[in-house]
Amino acid sequence: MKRILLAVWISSSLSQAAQARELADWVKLSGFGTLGVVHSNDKGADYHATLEPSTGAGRSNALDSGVDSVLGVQADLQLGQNLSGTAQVVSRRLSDYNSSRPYFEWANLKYQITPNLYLRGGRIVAPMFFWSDSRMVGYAQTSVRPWGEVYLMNPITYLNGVDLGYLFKANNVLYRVGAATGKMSQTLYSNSTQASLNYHFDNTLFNLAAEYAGSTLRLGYARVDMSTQADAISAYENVLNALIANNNQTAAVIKDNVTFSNVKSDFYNIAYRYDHGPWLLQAEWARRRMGTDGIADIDGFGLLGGYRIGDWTPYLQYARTSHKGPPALPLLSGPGAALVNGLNAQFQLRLERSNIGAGVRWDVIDNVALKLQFERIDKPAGGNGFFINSTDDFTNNRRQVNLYSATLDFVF
Amino acid sequence: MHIHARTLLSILLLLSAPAQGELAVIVHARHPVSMLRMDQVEQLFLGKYFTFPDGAQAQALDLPKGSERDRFYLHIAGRNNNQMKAYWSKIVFSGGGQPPREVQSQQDAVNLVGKNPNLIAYVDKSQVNSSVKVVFIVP
Repeated sequence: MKRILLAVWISSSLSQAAQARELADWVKLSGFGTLGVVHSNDKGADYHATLEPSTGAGRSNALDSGVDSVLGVQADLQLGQNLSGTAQVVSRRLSDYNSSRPYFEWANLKYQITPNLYLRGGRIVAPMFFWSDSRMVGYAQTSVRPWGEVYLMNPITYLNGVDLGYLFKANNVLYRVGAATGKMSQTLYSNSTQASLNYHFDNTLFNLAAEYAGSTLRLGYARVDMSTQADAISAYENVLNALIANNNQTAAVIKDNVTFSNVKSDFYNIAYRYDHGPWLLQAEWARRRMGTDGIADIDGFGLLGGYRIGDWTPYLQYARTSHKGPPALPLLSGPGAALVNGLNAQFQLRLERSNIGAGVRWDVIDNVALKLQFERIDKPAGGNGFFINSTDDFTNNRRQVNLYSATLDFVF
Repeated sequence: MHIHARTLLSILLLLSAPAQGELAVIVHARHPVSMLRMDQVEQLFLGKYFTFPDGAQAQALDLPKGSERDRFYLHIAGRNNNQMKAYWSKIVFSGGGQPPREVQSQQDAVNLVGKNPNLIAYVDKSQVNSSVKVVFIVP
């Protein structure tokens, strides 16, 4: 029922879009959306494309329309000569029992100090990756979605904070420099453990992009100070504290290495894009280093090449996530040890997979694109490779998963 | 690959536009700028940069959908109509600005540019009059 209402809303929005945009000189309304379905041939786990949803395609749904579907509406306000505002409301599958309650992805004010320098505050984009600022706008992208092998490395899409952007030219190269700082809180619900995880992030980000003749190179760094709360974490810490009070050395070692409060983590990102004429090339590398053994250190890499033939853009892509650590945690013994050892085993699952795929984008009419994409995801034994709700059999064995996606992307 | 792409693009251009006049990028007749390079034109029309080389504010104007517009962007940005649509959806939905204001006709573009030194537009070269100055030519 909810989906039908959504479809009705979309079609009525599309027909009214032309009028809505004419409201006034100082306000512009626009929107974007994706209607998508995904099928996975492996019923041992769920594939998902963002970190929030607690179900996906595979085990929970044979054909899942919630993986990629999204609707966003944006209002751009010109409030004065140099002051503008942007509010973006997004509805997509979220964590709290998979509701798609609309929320503000952005709501900010931007002050243009000079034509080449701005200051922005409010709820703003978290520029973690190359595609961060239009991550949910399928129409702006060639493939169905940014590589999960890279983009699932970090769940932060927006911040409540401020950012500064500066633009300059040197030797005909256009440079963009950005700095952002802000906070974000998030609750993720896990179906398999029937429990919520509450995250809080304090973020500081820097990025630099250089653009010349159709080529863009972007470098990014983010320091994220993370705190996590959950019932299981409290129980885990209580067991360790009780054992440490009894001089258990192993418990002390584990407590030193597995922390949940004010965990300092570093994210590095290098991306390249060539988009000029019929050829298209995108590459992105990212590194995540966590200041706790409770979350894996990983590297991610993605590559996409495409060639445009009229309204058709066939493309090939390859992406992988590589597990880099942390080292093994010692086995604990004593009262409550089973709980700690069990969670440690979860923490140390290999977070690794590779993905080879092919697809085609068809620009059907102005503002509407249709995409078909096939991916083969190879996940080694001893981990879930970003899949969720996995069976033990899925976790413990290598799996090669075939994933089929179809999306209709539109803007209005 | 760069040269390869350029070559293919020129072939496509030759095939799709066999007999069309040159397009002129125009500014106000008394504008201090006398010439722009292609990368400067591209940055102004794609909302990447907002000032003329002398530092004065620049605002680009677009022609209505049609062959002039398609030829213009194919030449300066290597992007067809679909690519331009996708490009602007990325910019608009990242809070990075809006596409150039669309005028009703080439005459409109010439009239507006002839009155306002902050504007820049492109029109068929035959439309150019003494109120405006040509700073770049799309062959």
